[in-house]
Amino acid sequence: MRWNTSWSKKELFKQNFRQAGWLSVGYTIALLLLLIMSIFSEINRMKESVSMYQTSFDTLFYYGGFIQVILLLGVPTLTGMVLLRFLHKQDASDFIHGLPMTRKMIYLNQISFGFIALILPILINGLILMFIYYSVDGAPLIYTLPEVSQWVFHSLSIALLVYAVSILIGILTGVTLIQLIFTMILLFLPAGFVFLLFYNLNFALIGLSSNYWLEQYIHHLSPITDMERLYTAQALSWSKVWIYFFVTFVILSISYFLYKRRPVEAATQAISFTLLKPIFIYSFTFCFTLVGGFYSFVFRHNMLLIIVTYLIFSIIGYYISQMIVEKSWRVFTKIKPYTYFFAGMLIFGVLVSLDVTGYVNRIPDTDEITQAYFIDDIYTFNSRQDYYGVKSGFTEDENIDRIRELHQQLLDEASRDDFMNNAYQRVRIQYELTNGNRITREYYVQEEQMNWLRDLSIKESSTYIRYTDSLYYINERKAQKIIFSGGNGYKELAITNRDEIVKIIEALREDRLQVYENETYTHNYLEIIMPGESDVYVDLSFNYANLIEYLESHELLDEAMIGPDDLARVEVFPILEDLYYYDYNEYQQKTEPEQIITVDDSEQVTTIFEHIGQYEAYEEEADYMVMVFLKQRHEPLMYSVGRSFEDVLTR
Amino acid sequence: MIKIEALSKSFEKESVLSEVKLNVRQGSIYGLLGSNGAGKTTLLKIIAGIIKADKGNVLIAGSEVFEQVSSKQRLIFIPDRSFFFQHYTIKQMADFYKEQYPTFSERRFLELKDVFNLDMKKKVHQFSKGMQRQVTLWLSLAAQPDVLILDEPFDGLDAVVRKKIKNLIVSDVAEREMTVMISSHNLREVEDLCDAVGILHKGEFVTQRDLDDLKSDVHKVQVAFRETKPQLFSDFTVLHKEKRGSVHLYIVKGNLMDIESHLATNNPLLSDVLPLTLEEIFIYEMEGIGYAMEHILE
Repeated sequence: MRWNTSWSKKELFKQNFRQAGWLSVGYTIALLLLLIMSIFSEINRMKESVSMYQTSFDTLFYYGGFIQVILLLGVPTLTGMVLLRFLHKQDASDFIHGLPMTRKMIYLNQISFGFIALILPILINGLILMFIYYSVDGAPLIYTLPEVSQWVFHSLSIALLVYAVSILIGILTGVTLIQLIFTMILLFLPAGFVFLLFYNLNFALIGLSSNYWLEQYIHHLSPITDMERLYTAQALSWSKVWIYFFVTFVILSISYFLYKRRPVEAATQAISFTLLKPIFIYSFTFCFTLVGGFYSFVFRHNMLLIIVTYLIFSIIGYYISQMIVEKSWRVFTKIKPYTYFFAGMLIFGVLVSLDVTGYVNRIPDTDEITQAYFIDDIYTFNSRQDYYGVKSGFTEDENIDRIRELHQQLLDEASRDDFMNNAYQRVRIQYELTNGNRITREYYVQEEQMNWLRDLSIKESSTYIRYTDSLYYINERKAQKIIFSGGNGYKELAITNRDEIVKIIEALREDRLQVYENETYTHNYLEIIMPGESDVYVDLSFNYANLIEYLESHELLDEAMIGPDDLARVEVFPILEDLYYYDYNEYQQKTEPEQIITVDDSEQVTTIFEHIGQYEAYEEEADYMVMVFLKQRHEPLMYSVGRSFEDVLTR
Repeated sequence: MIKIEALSKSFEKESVLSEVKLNVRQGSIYGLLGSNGAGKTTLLKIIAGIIKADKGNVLIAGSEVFEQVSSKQRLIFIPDRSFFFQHYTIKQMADFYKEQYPTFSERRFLELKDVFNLDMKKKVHQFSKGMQRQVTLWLSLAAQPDVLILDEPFDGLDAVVRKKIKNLIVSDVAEREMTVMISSHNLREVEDLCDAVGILHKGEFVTQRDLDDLKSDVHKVQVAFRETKPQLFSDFTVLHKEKRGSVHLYIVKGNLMDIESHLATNNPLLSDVLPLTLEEIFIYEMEGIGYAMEHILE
C-alpha cells in the first residue's frame, strides 16, 4: 500500500503514543471497570435468584452510571487537545512545521492517531462483551448482541464527533485551555443558541410557539442534550449514528481546510485567524445579549428592565470576548466595535419588534388551510400525536373560520408580556396548509378569557373531542381488557370477552361525543388495558346512555358501577386538622357524637353523592369531612369539603 | 543555493519584512545581522519553510520550500531555543530525525558522539541549555543537510562551546559544501566565521556584503600636509572624514594601490594607510547611508 506508507510516520506515531496513549489505555481500563465488571456483578446477582431476576437496564450505557457519558465527552476532547498541543506552543509548532512533512501529512498523522486511540478502547470492550456473551453462563440474559453493536456504534459516533469538534476548535485557537472550554461550548451551542433565540424572540413576537419548537426539536441539536437517548433502547436510532459519522467527516474536512491555511505564528493567540476575531467578538456578544434576555425572562422584568438588561449583558459579553481575543484585561478603551454591535442590535431589535415578516398577524386565508386545530392541552396533545399518530383537525370551511375568528380574537387581546405570566393557561392554534406547511401560534389566556372560549363551544365539537381524547386514538381491537371500578374497590368488573370489549369502546365513543346539560359525579371509572401502549382511563357518567344500555342489557350494570341503590347513609364530621390521613375509626373516636350530622334520606344521600365533587377542597381549606357509607361496607368513602357544602345540608 | 526575491511578510497589520532580496552561494556561510526585532528570525523561519511569506519567493537550489517535502529534507533550521519532545532521550530523538531526513547518517551520528561526549540514554530535558544546543547541532549535523540555518546559535554559550560549534560548522562546510545561514545581533561573534554578511534593519536590508571584498576594499587613511591641504580623493568614495589637529583622517573605498599612488601625487608631509576592523567598516558604511550603527547593532 503505497498510499499508506507515504504519509504515515512511525516515529511520529510513537511520539503521539507517548503523549496521548495514556488516554486511550486509561479509557480502555475505565470501560473494563465500568462496563465489564458491572456486567459480571449483574450476572452474579442474577444467578443468586434466577427465577426472580429481571433485567434492570435497557441499554449497556446504564452500566457504570453517568461516568460513561462523562468519558464519552471528556476522553475525545482531551485526545484532541493533546494531539494538537504542538499547535499551541511556539517552539513545538516551529519544530513540527520545520520538518520535511506537508500539512496534509501532519494532519493525517495526528487525526488518524486520535481515531485509533478512540476506536480501540470501544472496540476492545465490544469484543470482550461478545466474548462474554458466548462464553459466560447467563450473559445472554443480561444483554443481547444487537445491544452490543448498538453500544459500540453509538459510543463511537459520539466519541468521534466530540473529537472532531475538539480538533476544529484546536485549529481555530492557539491556546489549549480555550480549546477545552470552547469545545464544550460548541457542542452545546446549537441547542443552547436556539433555546436562547426563541426565549428572546418571545419578547417581540406575540404568538410564537417557542415551546412547540423547543419541545419537539431542541434536544436533537446538540450531542450533549441528545445523550439522554442513550438510556432508552427505543430511542437509539441508527440514523443518528450515520448522521454523527457524516457530521464528523464534514467537521474534520473543514478542519483540514483551515489547518492548511493556519498561520504557524498563531500559537499562543486566542484565535488563530485574523478574520475570525471580529466574527468571534460579535457572535459572543450577541449570545451574551441573548443570555441577558433569558435572565429577564427568568426574573420577569418589565420592558424597560428588559432593555437595560440587554444593554448590560451585551457590554459584559463584549468585554469578555475582547479579553479572550486580546488575552488581556486592558481592553476597556476599545469601544468602536461595540458601537457597531449596538447599532446592529438596535436595527435588528426594531425590525423584529416591528415584525417586518408579518409573523405576528399572519392568519392564513380559509382556502389556504386544509386543517385547523385548537389545542388547550399542549403537552398531552404532542405526546398523543407522537404516540398514536395524527388525528384530523377541523376541515370544514365553516369550522376553520371559527378557529380563525378565535385566532383573531386571541391576537387582539394578546399583549407582549403575556408569556411572562405563569398563571395564564396556554392555548395553541395550529394550521395545516395546502402547501404542506404548518403554522403554529401559542397564546396565553386568562381565566376570564376562557369564558368566551367556552362560548365558542369549540371544545364541545366532535372534531375537538376526537383529536383530544385518547379513546378515539386507540385501536379497540388491540385492547386486552376493560376494568370497571368504583368506590375504592367496592365495585370491580373485568371484561375480557373481545366482542364485549369492542362494543363497550364503541358505545363509549358515541357517548363521549354528546354534550350533557347536568353532569354529575358517579365515582365510577373504567380502564382500557392496552398491551404495549398506555392504558386509557375514562370517568363514567350516568348520562352515557349507550354504555348504560349495553351494561343493563347484559345485566352487568350493577356489577360495574355504584348506583343510588348502593348508598346507605352520609355522615358529616367537622374536619380534624391534626389527622394526616383519612381514618374513619379515628374520626369516630375523636369526635363528640352530637357534632356528627347524619343524613339518612335516600334522595338526599344520592344528591350529596352526585354533587360532592364540586365542593371538594384541600384539607387546609376544608371545614368538613363527608363520609359516604355504602351498603355492606364498613369503611366509608371520605371527602374533605369547604364551607359551601353547608348549602347542600340545609337544602 | 538560497535565493530570495521581493519577500514581504506582515503579522496582522504590522510589516515585519518588506521587499527582502538575498542570495547565498553554495558552501558559503552567511551572517544575518540585526538588532532584536529587525525581522531576522522571521526571515529565517520563512527560508526554513515554517512561516509562509505574504509575497515573494524563497528558492533552495531552485525549488520552493514552503510545503515542499523534498526541499525541506535538505534543510534544517535550529531555533534559538532548542526543542525536544517531552521525556525523549538523545537516541529517541535521533530515531525521529532519522525517519524525517533520508540523508541522516547513523555513522556520522556515532562519529559525532565522541565530539559531544553526551550520554545518549539520558533525557534531553535533563541537560543544560548549552548542552541542549549541542544536542540539536549533533542531530542536525548527523542529518547531513545541504542547508543549515541557525538562529542566534551562540547566545548565552561559553567560549569553549562556541568555538566547538564554529569548528563543527566550518568542517561540514569544507567537507560537504554545506550552505549556512547564521543570525546574530553581534558582529564580532560571527566575523571570523562568515564570508558574507547582511544587515537587516526594520525588515529591510541596509547592506549586504562579501567580507573578503569588504576588507580589501575599505581603508583608513591618515595624512598631514605642510601647507594647505589639496583636494583629496575626489575620484574615490569617502565614507568618513575628520580633522585632528593637522592630521586629516579619511575612510576611503578603493584599491590599496590606487589610494597609495593618489596620496603620493599630492606630496603629503606624512601619510599612513591602515586596515579596518569589520566593525569599523560597518560603522562608517552605515554612516555613509545615513544610519547610526549603534541603533542597528548592539
